[in-house]
Amino acid sequence: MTDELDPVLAALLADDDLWDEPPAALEQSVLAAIASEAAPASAPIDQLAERRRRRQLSVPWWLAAAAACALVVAGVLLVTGRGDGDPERAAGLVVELSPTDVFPEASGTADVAATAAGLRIVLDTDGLPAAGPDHFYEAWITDGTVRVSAGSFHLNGASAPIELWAGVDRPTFRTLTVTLEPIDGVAESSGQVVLRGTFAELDD
Amino acid sequence: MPDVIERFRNGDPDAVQAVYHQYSGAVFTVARSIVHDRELAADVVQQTFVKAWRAASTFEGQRELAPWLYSIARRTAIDAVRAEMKPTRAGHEPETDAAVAPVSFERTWEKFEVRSAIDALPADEREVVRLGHLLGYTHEQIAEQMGVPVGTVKSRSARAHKRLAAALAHLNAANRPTGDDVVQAEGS
Repeated sequence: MTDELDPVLAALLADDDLWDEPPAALEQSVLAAIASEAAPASAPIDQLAERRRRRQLSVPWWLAAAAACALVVAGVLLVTGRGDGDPERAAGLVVELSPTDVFPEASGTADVAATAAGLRIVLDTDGLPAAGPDHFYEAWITDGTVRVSAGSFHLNGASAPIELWAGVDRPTFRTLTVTLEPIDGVAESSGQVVLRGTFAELDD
Repeated sequence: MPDVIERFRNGDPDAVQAVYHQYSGAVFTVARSIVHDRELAADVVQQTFVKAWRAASTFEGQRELAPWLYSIARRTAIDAVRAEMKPTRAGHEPETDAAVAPVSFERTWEKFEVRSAIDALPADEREVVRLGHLLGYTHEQIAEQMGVPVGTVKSRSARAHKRLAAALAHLNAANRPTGDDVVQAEGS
């Protein structure tokens, strides 16, 4: 079957790397990243990114009011010191999250703490647009090889601290990533990382 | 292609999309073979196309686009591996599971070229080659899998291998270039 091919090249055809397809959503991500850089020079703006921007700007009044109430409640809880004596909560650390080319203006922090129930992550993002009706964001904890989901969110209402949980707190799992995922029923990561950060070993 | 390059340089979404469609598979193959992590490889693909777009004004249209993109992809993938191994401000230890074994320039270039040749095949011929080489199917098994006569599989296989042989003739043992040849072809 391969008589006409150089044996070295024929052997390459059995290599899995030669056949794996890039994540389907990556194309849109690349186009959006380039369009966002091209925009100031009056190049065409990616329609999806533009729709997301508009959605982010047009927060319904009732949602804004609810968010304001939530902030007041959170402030009161913070002042009264709720949680200080919580035996389930270990001392956490704050991880700075860096953007990728998908949303270069995005940033974030993650307050990560190992608890008796698992890894508790409070994510606070800035500049991350609403995921829109066809996508969501997913947080992952990874050791570079194995990836464990820490939950999902969409930011379609407003940007606010998001509480996430991961059922793994092994010392080697020190990288937190946030990916943009299409709603397609595929549990595997799309590979579109929008934020990434690495943290030191946690105290138990 | 010079027209596409010119439009790519200007950020024309159609041109960017055309270049992505033609080379994303080959770039992903190179990235995967260097970083050995699918998510990180996808990140490398994205960075490669964004970097290529940023640098497109320095690309001379009469040159080949493939070696230029390959060069960017390879450098980006190696940088990604190094970044994964570097301690961060948070003070974590260098990753111990990141791939450190270097992959030769010639080997990854061959993978880039073979992947490009595979992606240029008609879909039915590509599938015959995939089932035969990746999964090790016989012609009979491929025929059953694809629901076509064995004779059809044989003719598709013959056509596909003829196309691949023609497209990759420059990589045969006798004609295989050195890394320096490829670097010069990049116009660096």
